[in-house]
Amino acid sequence: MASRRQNPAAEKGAANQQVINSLLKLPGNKYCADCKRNKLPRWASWNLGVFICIRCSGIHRGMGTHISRVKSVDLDSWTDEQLASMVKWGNTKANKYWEANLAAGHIPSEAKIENFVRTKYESKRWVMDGPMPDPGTLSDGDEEEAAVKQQLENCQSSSSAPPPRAASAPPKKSEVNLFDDGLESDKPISQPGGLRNQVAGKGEPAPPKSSKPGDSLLGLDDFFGPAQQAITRPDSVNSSPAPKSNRPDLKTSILSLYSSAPKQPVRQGHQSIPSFGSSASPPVQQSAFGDFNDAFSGLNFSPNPQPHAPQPQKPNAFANLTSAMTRSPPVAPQVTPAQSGGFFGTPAAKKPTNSTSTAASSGLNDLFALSSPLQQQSTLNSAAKPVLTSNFPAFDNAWSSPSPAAPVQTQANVWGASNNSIASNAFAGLGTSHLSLGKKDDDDFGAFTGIGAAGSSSGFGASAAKVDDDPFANVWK
Amino acid sequence: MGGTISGLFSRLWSKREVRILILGLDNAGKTTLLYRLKIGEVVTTVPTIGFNVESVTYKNLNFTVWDLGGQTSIRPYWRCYYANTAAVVFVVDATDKDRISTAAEELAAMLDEEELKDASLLVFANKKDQPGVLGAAEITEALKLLRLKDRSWQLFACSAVTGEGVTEGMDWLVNTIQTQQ
Repeated sequence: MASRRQNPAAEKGAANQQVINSLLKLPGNKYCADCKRNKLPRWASWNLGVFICIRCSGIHRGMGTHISRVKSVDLDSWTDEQLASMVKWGNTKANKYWEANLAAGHIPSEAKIENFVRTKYESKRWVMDGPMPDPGTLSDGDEEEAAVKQQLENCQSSSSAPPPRAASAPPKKSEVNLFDDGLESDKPISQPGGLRNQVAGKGEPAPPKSSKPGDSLLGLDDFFGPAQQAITRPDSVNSSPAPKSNRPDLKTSILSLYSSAPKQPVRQGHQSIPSFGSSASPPVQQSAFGDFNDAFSGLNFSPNPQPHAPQPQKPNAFANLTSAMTRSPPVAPQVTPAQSGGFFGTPAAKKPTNSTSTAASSGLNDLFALSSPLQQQSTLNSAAKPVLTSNFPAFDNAWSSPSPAAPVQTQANVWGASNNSIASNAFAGLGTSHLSLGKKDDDDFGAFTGIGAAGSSSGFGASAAKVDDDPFANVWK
Repeated sequence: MGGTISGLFSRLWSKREVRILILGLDNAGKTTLLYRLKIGEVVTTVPTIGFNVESVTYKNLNFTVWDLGGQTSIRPYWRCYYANTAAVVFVVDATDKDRISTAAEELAAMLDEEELKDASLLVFANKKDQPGVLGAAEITEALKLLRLKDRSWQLFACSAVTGEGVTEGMDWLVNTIQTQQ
């Protein structure tokens, strides 16, 4: 293959590949431009400037190169001209032109995709009147524009040196990126009121600066999905900025994932507590979660009552946890991972659980260890009693027992067992994968890791229907 | 039956497996051609990542036809399939004027390979049903076919979608292979 003279082209292609991948992280390009169904398109029609899925790319190819010129994001090399077209257009703008006379939000039926694509580009049925405009005039707001520019800047600077992301980003952007940065850099960041109390502020109307959920430049918004809205929403009511370490922020923000999950099963949880594993509640996954939450709501770790109580109509179990963590720094300014890790188990000193985990991931580990007993118990009990429902009330039992000493004991047992077992922490991997996700900014497969992350959010969130997609779903089974 | 002898005869023939590669740039029409040969119909295709392989019987010859994906970064893997190949069917998108030179480079690089020095070359100028296609002479020129030495080659304009020209090309291929063996 020495005769191919591919080397200069290959280098150029590698640089362009980065730009393409960053373009794919823009919110408009996250779904196929034509079928609107398939996520994370890996094909593109470069003359039309759209990112499409492989099936639609087959239809595009069938129309001929005078209409569409298809390339693979992963398997083809990109010239500057082709790249420029993609930068200029992108799915959002292209559809503003090609689907100008189509009802907004139209999703073609699955069986008629080919017909739809051919009608769209070949017959130009819905095209904007008049000559093809300059895509710049089809701008869909400054945010997207800025996002494109930001992406390109990041990309260019990252090819030479690691980008000073937080420094170079405008303030608004950095706010959007708070969580990403938090994952990426392990050092404490000072954020006045950034992530604090998003649980309490959840039900409130969005403040003016609320940003679009898709603005994350790292392609993490699939993962954070609904939670990110809560995260990026600064609470305007509370304004007591306290220097906080990064850990509690991470925790609170991840906890907000939990907080959105149990809405309707809360009542059931209360009822099942006295019955100690009677397993009467049919919707197993959700009710188990509800039990879990309610068990926590009984424990008040926070010594000082919260000035602004969380939503009264929805007693949120983790509001207490949040307040405990966010209020504690003034008292004990250094919230080390060990301390905060011991939060859920106040007897952290007794058990060696945390000591083995690495400092980098212990915060997350501890966080997720919150739910690891669920799996732990299911594995421990599976031999004797593999019935799903019986495990959760048992856990519930441990936490909701009336005597204050008993929970501690039980908990220590459970967690100690989890420490010694092979699958010591089901979420240890999850925690580290989150970290690496943050680092995989420009990775080719950043988008793919996004899939896994999206799945994990569904595992925690309310959408239990997507369990099949969820790599961590077995935790709840 | 009386077909015993002829059955034996055809079995002898059919034991011969002829290995054929369908190569060409992405979106040239390789997969469509393969299934045109195999089932005589137009199939809806998606870009081939990897390969398709089918055994096709044509005029008493059993072909094993490999259709390899044509995207830029998987072209280097074509060479893994070169060994024992009787013929290469090189498919060109005759409407794609911009990339005919790229196709020429790929063809030249391929024909340089030692493993293919005895392979015949059938070039299909595909998509002749489309308007504004390059003519056979233009493609012959662009691919520098006239400079080939010690190679039996032929170019046919065809349309894998309509089937036009495919039979002629395959007939030439069968004749060439049979005379060589």
